[in-house]
Amino acid sequence: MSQGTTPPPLERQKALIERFTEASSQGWQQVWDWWSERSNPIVVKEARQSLNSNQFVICFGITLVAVLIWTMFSVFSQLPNAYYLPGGLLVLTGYFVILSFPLILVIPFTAYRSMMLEAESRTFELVSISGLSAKQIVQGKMSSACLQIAIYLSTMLPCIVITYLLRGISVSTILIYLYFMVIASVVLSAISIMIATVSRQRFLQVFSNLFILGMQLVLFYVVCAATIAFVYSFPMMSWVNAPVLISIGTIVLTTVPLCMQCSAAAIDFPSENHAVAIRSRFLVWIGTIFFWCAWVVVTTETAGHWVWIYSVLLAIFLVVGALGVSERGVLSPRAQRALPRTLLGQCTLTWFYPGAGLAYVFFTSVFASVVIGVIGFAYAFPLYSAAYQQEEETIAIGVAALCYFMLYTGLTRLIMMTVPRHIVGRPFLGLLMQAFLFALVPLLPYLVLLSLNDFRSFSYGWHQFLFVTWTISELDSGGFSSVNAGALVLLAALSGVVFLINLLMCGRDVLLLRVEVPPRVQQELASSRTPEAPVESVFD
Amino acid sequence: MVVPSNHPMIELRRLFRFYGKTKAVNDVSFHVNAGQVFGFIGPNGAGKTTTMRILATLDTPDYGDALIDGFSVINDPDRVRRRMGFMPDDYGTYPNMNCLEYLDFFARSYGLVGRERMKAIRYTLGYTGLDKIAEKSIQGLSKGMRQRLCLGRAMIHRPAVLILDEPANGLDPRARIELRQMVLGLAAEGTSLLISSHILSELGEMCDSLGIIERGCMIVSGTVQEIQSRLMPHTNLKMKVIEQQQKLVEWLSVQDGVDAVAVDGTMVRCQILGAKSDREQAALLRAIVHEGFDVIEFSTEGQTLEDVFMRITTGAVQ
Repeated sequence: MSQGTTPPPLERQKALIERFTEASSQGWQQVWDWWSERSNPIVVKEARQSLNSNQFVICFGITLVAVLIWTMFSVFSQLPNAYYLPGGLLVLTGYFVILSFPLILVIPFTAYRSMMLEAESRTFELVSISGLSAKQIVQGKMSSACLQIAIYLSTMLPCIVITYLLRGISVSTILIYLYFMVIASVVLSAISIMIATVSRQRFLQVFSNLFILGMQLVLFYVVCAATIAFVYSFPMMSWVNAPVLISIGTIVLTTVPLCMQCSAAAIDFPSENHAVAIRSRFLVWIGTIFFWCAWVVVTTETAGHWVWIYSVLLAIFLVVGALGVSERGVLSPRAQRALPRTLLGQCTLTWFYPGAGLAYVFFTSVFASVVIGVIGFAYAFPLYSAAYQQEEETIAIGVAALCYFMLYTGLTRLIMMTVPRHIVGRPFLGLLMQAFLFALVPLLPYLVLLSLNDFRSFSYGWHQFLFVTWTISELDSGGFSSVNAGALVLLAALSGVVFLINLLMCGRDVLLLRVEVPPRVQQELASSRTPEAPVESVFD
Repeated sequence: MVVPSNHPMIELRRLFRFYGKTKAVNDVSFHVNAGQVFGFIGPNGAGKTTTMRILATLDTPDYGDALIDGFSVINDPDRVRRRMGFMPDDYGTYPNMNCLEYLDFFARSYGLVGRERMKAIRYTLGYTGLDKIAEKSIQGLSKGMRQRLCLGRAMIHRPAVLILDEPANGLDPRARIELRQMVLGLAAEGTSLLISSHILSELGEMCDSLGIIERGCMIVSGTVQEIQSRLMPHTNLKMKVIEQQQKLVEWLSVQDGVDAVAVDGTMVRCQILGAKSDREQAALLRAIVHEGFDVIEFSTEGQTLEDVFMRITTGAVQ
């Protein structure tokens, strides 16, 4: 370019600033401006960064090249048969495998690294003290992942449409597999972001990196294998399996907000109250899971399903309960501003507030409600369904599962009370403690009995009531036999004692009263309610 | 909407922060009013950065509270953040971004939209002198330009309080002078500033008041002159006159408050009891000239902030 046509550097910078800071008059640019004004700032930032980054260009390029190569290979390899025989199946399988590379591997890992890098490069501190709330930061990262999903999908979509034209595959099948792929990518991204936020300490990063990489590589393999197997097994899927799709969709839809709320809680200021939001989302999540489990029981009219449902619920509650009772347990003055005012509110809503003891009672109450609900269902449902046989084992296993949760989580909570509050990674410690108790406590009576029995195997007895899997399997096969009933009574008594001790220990939190909003905050709130007078811009 | 108040813009109330057995901040209290510049001085590891991080809502105190415009950093961090800009000593920047995009991101993050954001970006670029390199990638910026960019980020939402941790660190003399001018400009517009620095001479010129902290404890605070008068019992004057040194010594030795006078080559050195203000020193100079001495140099010596700092701190670390 000649010197005459190149503006001098200063002029060019000024022109750039003008162009950047002036509202555009062009149509498409106006649409972009409108979108970017309303978008999360992190999405705009990450979109800009991605456009300039080699990583995105390389991944996107690899995907495009792979699609091109696969299209040519799969179409040419089927010639001339493709003219008169359905050939879409092979082509589509390849496209899904290629699509799973960015959706299952690249995007979730990018979301994870993006969150990690904020902490490593010390930019997170700057963002966290900006006007963005922790929730907005997490939403921004999540939206950025969703934007990338949309970009990859929009790139692949024309190719996938061609597979329909090649015949041998239905539109519903294509959409259903795309649906699974997208929700897998979304939920994986949400989980990756959550892991990144809870493992920001250096010593945890090694484990989290390994975990994320391992999880994604395994899932990538599973998704690729499953795609190949399913597309070939069910090339003509129909919408008759809609409940399965809806159930998976609703569970994912409730899992993602829960993960995002947990992520926000992990990076937010300690005085902020996230417990209410997390526990509310947990209620919705567990309610959704329970609903679909109950749906399986209702549609199959088989009471035997409750055994695995209880097992799944117990596993979930043990993990979530361990994380809950490892909270630092500080009800900050800020959180106390929103405490319920009335006695009824205090009795019902206090359990949603921060605090390890309150978390323990909350999760116990939720689990107890589930068990009571199932017992009610077990008695009511036979009135409507002749095929459904009410089994007393169902009730026994439900009560046992609840007691095990109360016992082990209660013990974990009591032990965690001795751990200093400022220790980093308390949730992981709580989880380890729970796993340790769950694995070792049942072994004690078992080993004692084994040694007394000269190391020969022995049958189940009441003294093995701490052994979860053994007790549940005995209850499943024997119901309320005298031995099982004895074990159950012992278990209920011990877990009741642990629950009572914990309930007494969290009495201080329950008795806390709502504190008034400070005058300075009241002053600002009052002024925000009055209509604002027009003010001159401070930048004029 | 940010509502102004009558509170001090920065207020620390008996702040404590422990790291194990180390008392990083140990019962520190002070306040800064609107439009004031407060210099925070202390040796390395004294607790300056910890205090600033608590004020910036990046850390929490173990006891006590800190308030920005009357809002507690513990209980209302969101309200504090709207009113405060923080420039840390060690900060990160994003790769694959230029200065304009960086400022645009933070302007958006502070909730500035539409024309207000555009104006804020232009104003900040102009104020910090980054408009000449707006297009340049952040990774290619010099240390001084990065400092400007970070200052721009901290002030993009025009906060009422700016906290600058070692802002002049690593800057060349020109950049330091420009930074000082920017700081004074912001103070003149009503922004309250809390600045920590090791370059004490500059702090003395910029700050309305100072606080000296060591081993987590605030040793002394007040205006520069208050601190000097409290800590320096004498005012040392240095004078140069034409050919009448001995006569000046004799005259000075009979004046009130003069503790010691001596001739040092062509200079006359004089020690006066107590810290003398500029006005009192001017009065003495007037009297000397009135007596017929040809004064060609008159200055104080040994009373710089460095002297005060060296006198008051021990250099001990925890």
